[in-house]
Amino acid sequence: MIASFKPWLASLCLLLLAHITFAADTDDAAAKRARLQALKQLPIQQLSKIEFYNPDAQLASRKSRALIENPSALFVLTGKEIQRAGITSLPEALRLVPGVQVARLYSNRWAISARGLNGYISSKLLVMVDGRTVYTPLRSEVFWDAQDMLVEDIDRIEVIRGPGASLWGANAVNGIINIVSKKARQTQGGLATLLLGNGDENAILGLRYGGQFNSKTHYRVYGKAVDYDSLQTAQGESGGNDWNTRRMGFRVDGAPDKHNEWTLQGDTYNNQLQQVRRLLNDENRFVLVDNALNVQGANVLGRWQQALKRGEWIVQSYYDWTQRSDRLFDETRHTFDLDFQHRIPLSLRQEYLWGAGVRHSRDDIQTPSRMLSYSTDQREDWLFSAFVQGEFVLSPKRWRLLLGSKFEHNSYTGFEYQPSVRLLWSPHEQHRLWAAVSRAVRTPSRTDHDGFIETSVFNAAINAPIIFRVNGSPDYVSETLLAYEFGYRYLPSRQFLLDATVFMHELENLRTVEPLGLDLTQRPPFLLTQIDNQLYGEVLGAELSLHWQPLRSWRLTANYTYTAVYLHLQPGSRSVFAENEEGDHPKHQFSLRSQWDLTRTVQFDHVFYYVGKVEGQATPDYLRWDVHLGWQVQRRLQLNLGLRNALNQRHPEFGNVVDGNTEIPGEVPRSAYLQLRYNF
Amino acid sequence: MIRIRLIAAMILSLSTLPHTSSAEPVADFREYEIKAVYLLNFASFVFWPDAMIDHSESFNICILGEDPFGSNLDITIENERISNLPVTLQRLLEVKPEFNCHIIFFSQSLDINLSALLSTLSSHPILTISDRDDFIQQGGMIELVNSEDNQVRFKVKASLIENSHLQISTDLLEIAELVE
Repeated sequence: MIASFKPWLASLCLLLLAHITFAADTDDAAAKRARLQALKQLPIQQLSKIEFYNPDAQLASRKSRALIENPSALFVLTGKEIQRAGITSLPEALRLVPGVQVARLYSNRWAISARGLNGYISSKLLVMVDGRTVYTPLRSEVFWDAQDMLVEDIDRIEVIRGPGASLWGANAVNGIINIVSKKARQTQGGLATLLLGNGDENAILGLRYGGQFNSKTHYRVYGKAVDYDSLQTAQGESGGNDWNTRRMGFRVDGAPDKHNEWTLQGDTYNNQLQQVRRLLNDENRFVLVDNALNVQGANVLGRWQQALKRGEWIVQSYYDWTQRSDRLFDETRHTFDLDFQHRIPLSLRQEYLWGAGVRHSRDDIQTPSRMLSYSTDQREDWLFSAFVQGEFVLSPKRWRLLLGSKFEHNSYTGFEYQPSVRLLWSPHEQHRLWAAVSRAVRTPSRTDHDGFIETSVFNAAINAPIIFRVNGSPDYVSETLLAYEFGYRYLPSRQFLLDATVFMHELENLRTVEPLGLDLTQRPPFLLTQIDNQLYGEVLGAELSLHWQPLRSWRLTANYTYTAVYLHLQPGSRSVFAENEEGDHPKHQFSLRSQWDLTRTVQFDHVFYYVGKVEGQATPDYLRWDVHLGWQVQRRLQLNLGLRNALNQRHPEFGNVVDGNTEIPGEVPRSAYLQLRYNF
Repeated sequence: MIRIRLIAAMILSLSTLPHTSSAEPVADFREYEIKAVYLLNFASFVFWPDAMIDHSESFNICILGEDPFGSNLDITIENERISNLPVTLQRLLEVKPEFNCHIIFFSQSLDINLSALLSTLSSHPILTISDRDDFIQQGGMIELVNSEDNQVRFKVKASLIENSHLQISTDLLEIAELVE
């Protein structure tokens, strides 16, 4: 597939480039004149609705781009929408995004993916928090239990479904999520918030204070503590998975002059999680044990942006330390990252964006359990990357082309290229059509490469357990995606937007577990396997999102997602359960959200969700209804009251079929909360 | 203290939707392009006493302190007329009532005793505008505010404007955030 893709893409690029004849280099002043003329024609009421270009708040496309002009499956969720949906954590907020599947396994564990292939370890979704990656190379996943901030400080969550690798690099296969916090200037003054709940969060306490060092330098400091209840099991027993989190942090933003802006921010957290796990005992049988997991970490990030006569450059660097320790493993990881990007608008009709980065990751892993081990305790990895993207207006107001690629060198597979070509057509002011072909890779994780997993399968024929050992493989290569996407957006008025995407993902070199040999002479018998890249497949899907504002005080959002995954083993493969992953997502997902301002001070909001059955995880479909009532009691005091999952006492969202899950799934319960928010 | 008239509706509006669909595809509006056009709009929604117009040869917009607009304001006012006067732009390092400014825009960079200056100007028919976040508190008339969604809104202290013998259009008051 890839072999046939390369010449195809190359000839397309050449063809298009050959046919582009750029107009004489029109300078910036002409563009400015045109923009100002457009602004002057607006009635003053409309002027207040124009969003201005702010590269900081628009990380996803690494450049500002209004939603409708974006030739990718972009969805933006604002902090306010999250609050009004009664949501208090980052992973839960993603339920509101079309095309994203959020399944909660138990209180402190989520399986989150887009475009299928979800799992206990969901490896193909890249997540960034304020420009810092939180995707761990340990097992190729995102530890959602370590990601949090004050909900009041979330500016927006930008989600691009499908590959974002040409800008963001490896592992942005099924999607890229950018969580962006507000600038310190937007969070001035004091805030105290207290949430008391039943069923899910027992209590959330948040404190924040924002001030200014001088008129050009603003800061905020915050602290947040959460105490979560355990989710019950299907049998109605306490799942033993309660947890609590403590975190604090700061952000300072400065704009010393009109050309320069800088940000310095950091967080530190310490979370205590309880889980019930299956662990192998000396008789090679699984026993349930209480597992205490301690998650802690700290990070600090600096960013400096300078506006140039044309375009701007941004340099960013961060250091991130995380530590996770429980009965299975104790991992400490230090990540250092340096990133640079530069935007050059050459003319009205062509613009270039390029950048380069380096990331160093160093870990130290201790494995107290025999179920998991690594060939080396310590490992150091370097990632070097560069990207370039060109944006060409082929025909003003009609055709726009984006061509770009990321080039990376990682310690596991060496050189990787991840190109993308995107075309936007505006046949009419209200209609946009876009198409894209892109390639992305999921690079091997530490566990894929040099991990050993030992587990046990009870065999009825011999009435005894068989030891089942999975070896990592140094020959494991990157999983690859070739994605074809088509999108349509219709904006007939300010009050209505239809956003539709259809896609086909062609995946190759997906992970399989190949048996190497079964030794029945041993006591207990021993099955040796090794991971390999013997699975391939297709994902077909459609994502539909509709925004409608029938009244000034009433806004509706409806989302529908269809996903079908077809996986096939290579003829030579003897892998036992890899194909099962094709059922690890709901085929159909639907949600309807209503935000209604009853009066100027009272908000009444609903979210309905329908999530289809997850066949691969033996999980039935469910309906969920969340209701939220917000009341601005007085200028400083807000009261929020809500009920989540009102329709059923509790429901499962994911099972524990294969995929290394040795923990006991819980079920999402009905929960209620009361929140007070006080500004001072 | 602050009465919000329209902000709630704006927050409710489709905030994730773009507002640039009719514009040049590659164009992204800049903050001070929007603010420049606001300034021109304010000039046409506020009415100066006849004497202030009759004795002027031009309608004068003054920028006090480091100019954040670049060429934006120059381009915006090209060929524009207010009360049938051609609009001019002056960049000043200091300001006095006698300078015949109809509008004074106070730059964020100013490091002066703002409240004292504004108090001196308050009895004159001069519209004072700034995007400093303490501007109205210091005694200014119109404060441009960047919203969380990177939109530019504005606050108006109507009583101050009326005390200085300027008349403000109700259309403008309708969409402003009024400060009492």
